[in-house]
Amino acid sequence: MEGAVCPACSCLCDDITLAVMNGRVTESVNACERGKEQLANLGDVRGEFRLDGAVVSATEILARLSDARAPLVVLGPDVSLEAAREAARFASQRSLPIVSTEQLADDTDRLGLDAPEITATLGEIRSSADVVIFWECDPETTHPRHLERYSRDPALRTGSPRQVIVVDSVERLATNATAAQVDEVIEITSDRTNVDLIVDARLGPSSGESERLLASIRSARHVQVFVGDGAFADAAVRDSLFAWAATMRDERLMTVSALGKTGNLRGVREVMSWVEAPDTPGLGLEFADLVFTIGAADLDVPPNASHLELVSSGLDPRTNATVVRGDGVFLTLCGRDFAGCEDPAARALRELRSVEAAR
Amino acid sequence: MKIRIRGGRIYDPANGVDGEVRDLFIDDGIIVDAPDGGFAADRTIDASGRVVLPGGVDIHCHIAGPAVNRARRLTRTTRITEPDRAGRLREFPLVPSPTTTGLRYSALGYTTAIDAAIAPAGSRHGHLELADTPNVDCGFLLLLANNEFLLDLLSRGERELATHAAAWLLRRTGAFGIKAVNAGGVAHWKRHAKGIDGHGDKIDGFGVSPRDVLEFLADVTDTHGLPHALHVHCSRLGMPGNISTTLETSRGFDGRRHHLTHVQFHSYGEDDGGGFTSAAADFVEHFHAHPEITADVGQVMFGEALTISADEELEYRLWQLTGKPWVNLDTELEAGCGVVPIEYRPLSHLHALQWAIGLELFLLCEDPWRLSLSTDHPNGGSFITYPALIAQLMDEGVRREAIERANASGVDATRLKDLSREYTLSDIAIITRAGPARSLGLTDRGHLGPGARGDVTIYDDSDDREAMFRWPIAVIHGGQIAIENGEFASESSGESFRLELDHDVRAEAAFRDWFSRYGSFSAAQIGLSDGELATLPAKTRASAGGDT
Repeated sequence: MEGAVCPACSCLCDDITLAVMNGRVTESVNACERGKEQLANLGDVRGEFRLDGAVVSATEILARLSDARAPLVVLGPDVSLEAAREAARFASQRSLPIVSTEQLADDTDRLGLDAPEITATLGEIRSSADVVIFWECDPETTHPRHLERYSRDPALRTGSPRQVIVVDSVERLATNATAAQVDEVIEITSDRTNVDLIVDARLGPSSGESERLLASIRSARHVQVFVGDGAFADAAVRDSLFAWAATMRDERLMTVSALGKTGNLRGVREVMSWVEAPDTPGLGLEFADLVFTIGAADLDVPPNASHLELVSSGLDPRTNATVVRGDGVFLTLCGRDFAGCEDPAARALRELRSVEAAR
Repeated sequence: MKIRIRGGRIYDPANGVDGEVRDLFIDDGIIVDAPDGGFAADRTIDASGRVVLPGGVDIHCHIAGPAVNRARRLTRTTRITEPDRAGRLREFPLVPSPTTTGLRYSALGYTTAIDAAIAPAGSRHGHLELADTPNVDCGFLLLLANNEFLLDLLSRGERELATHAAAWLLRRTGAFGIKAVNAGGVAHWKRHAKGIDGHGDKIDGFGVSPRDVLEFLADVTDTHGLPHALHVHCSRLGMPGNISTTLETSRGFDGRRHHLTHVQFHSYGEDDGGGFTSAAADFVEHFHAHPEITADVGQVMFGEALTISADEELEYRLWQLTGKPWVNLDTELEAGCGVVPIEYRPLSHLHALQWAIGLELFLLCEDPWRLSLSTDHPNGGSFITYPALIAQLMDEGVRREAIERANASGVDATRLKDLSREYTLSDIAIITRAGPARSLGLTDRGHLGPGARGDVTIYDDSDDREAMFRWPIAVIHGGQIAIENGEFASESSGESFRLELDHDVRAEAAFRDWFSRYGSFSAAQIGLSDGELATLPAKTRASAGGDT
């Protein structure tokens, strides 16, 4: 299989050649070590429902959902767009509340509301960002091919050189492997915060660090800031960067995006936006007596709730399912021109909907 | 299924029928002649005393794809209201889900809707949403006027290869036509703090001008015989004095067909103080003199709206002006999008002026066949406001009441108060059905002649035109009864339009090579595979030459 997508991190590298024998991946060309390990350990292509660990039929599932006082469907990162769409349709059909693990964990739904969201797809960044800043993140460790594919090595369309900068705390820099791979490192000293540094740089340098940061930004036509997931979840940091980008737009382009978590969180977000499902603001796991998880194996289900789970092979490059990159680009896991099999999770959920519709 | 619609008053301007009372017959989804030997109808709908029109055709709206879905998240708490038959207000999201979009269009008597702007990288997303949009047939226009691959080819003088590359992109993405948004201006703005100044100025980084790009894309539509003319969003949208740009853009086509979209937003004059004036009459004069032009209005309706456009600079200026939330996304060397919510307030001078200019365009235009009704949903207002707009066009009294509620200085800056014209039912059938279908090159709809799709809407003939057009009695979509006795009767998948075009394989290879250097994913992931295209619910295919 040529042109398969590696789901090991949010890079979602789509130049992977897989050798598959008897359903197992025996070789993965172009993948990083992390990707090779994940691809080699892909299990059977499967999608089956389990209730508190035991395999259950569609009829049993529907009966248990009917009996539940407060059922809750939770979509996690390891679900394809197709399976998420079927799950949201099922939730809509049954009027079941549905949330994503992203919604349970943070507040990214406010993106664009409290400060402008100015962002770009990775192709724009790869070909035009002449200053790239990694803010409180370490892609060399977490996204091993990011520098090679998107942010450091590709030549700019203009032919100009690119400057790559790491901004991180003194403590984190000690273990930040990316710092050794870039042109400049800016420390956030222990008496300063991310926001302090942004404010200093915006309003006028009051430290050597902010002065260096501002000088680099002023030299650029297009600045891209990749923010670590922890810092991006902090609205103060995220919105300070976006506000800075907005006020700078009359002088130069500055785009901001999260470096990105593993999985298909963006795909789940897209589906939750377009498939009508019951709106469940503020609904938490603590109220549920039956939690139906799909692609959320790591979720801690409360012990007093029953756990209905769709056990599947997740984001599997042997299937023709879709995964959505953090910048909104839709990718077919097996490559678009390869006839992979249907995502068994999506098929299982569609069959569940059919049984429900026939009742 | 065989359906007989009995005794309705039929308005079918494409076939010269203006209020003739007769029966209509649908067999297996197609309108057929009155049979000689009887018609064993499975269903008979009594339309006696009622008005029968073809299904509505929306030539320009934003209902699917990455930008629309981002807008849904941004405005998830924004609701608009619509009265039901009992007068109770029902709430809808300003940017509804695909399901609600399809059902609401259907409930208004529409059976076809064209999304006006999706970029190649977003085409797969667009198709998935359109597949979830029931009861209307859909297609989309592909954003190509800021595609840097095409700009590179044009800069190198490889125009023929670029023509084939555009054809390949249209086919691969399953698009229905070409949309030019601020040609070259978006690519330029990505690299500059300012937009491009002149129509003939070079786009930064490329050896071509906006005029060159538009000429090229018009050539592509003609060379490949696309059913719909190049769909043009001129530059300087919403700026005072932009009528000069609009007319210059149009003249640049030098007699070739083109569609000027949401012209209300492009028909502004400028007073000595730099303020807005109406240039509707200037536009209409130009329009009348150039039969090769089609257009849609992009009417502003008072209330909540959302600006959503590939014209990123425009959205940035709107954010500066309003301070409302703003999202900007630069997309993979081919397009961009901006989103800014807006509320059109009747007491605002500017908003009243915009509303009045839109109505001026409708009322001054003497050739409704070429001027389609649109609000550029959701930019000028939701499509849910169409019945209110129709009432303002058909009933001078309704219009006068609306004028009384609007900012007087805004309205007085136009000729609206002097215009007493009232649209007839036939006129409405033209601007909402026959005209847009003809402009789109969709010969199988917008009329009720034999061979047309079984897309039919039946209305009560009421003096309250808003109520009449808000609650059709029956809607038939592709021979399926979608609305019956004013209630939803069925939900079915719509068809989608796409183009079957030939292209030189070297163009595809050139794109793959270029994209491997500058794009961030494999070119093979663009659009849909041949297998996926074949499985689309695409029963209607437009092909070179314009047949459907």
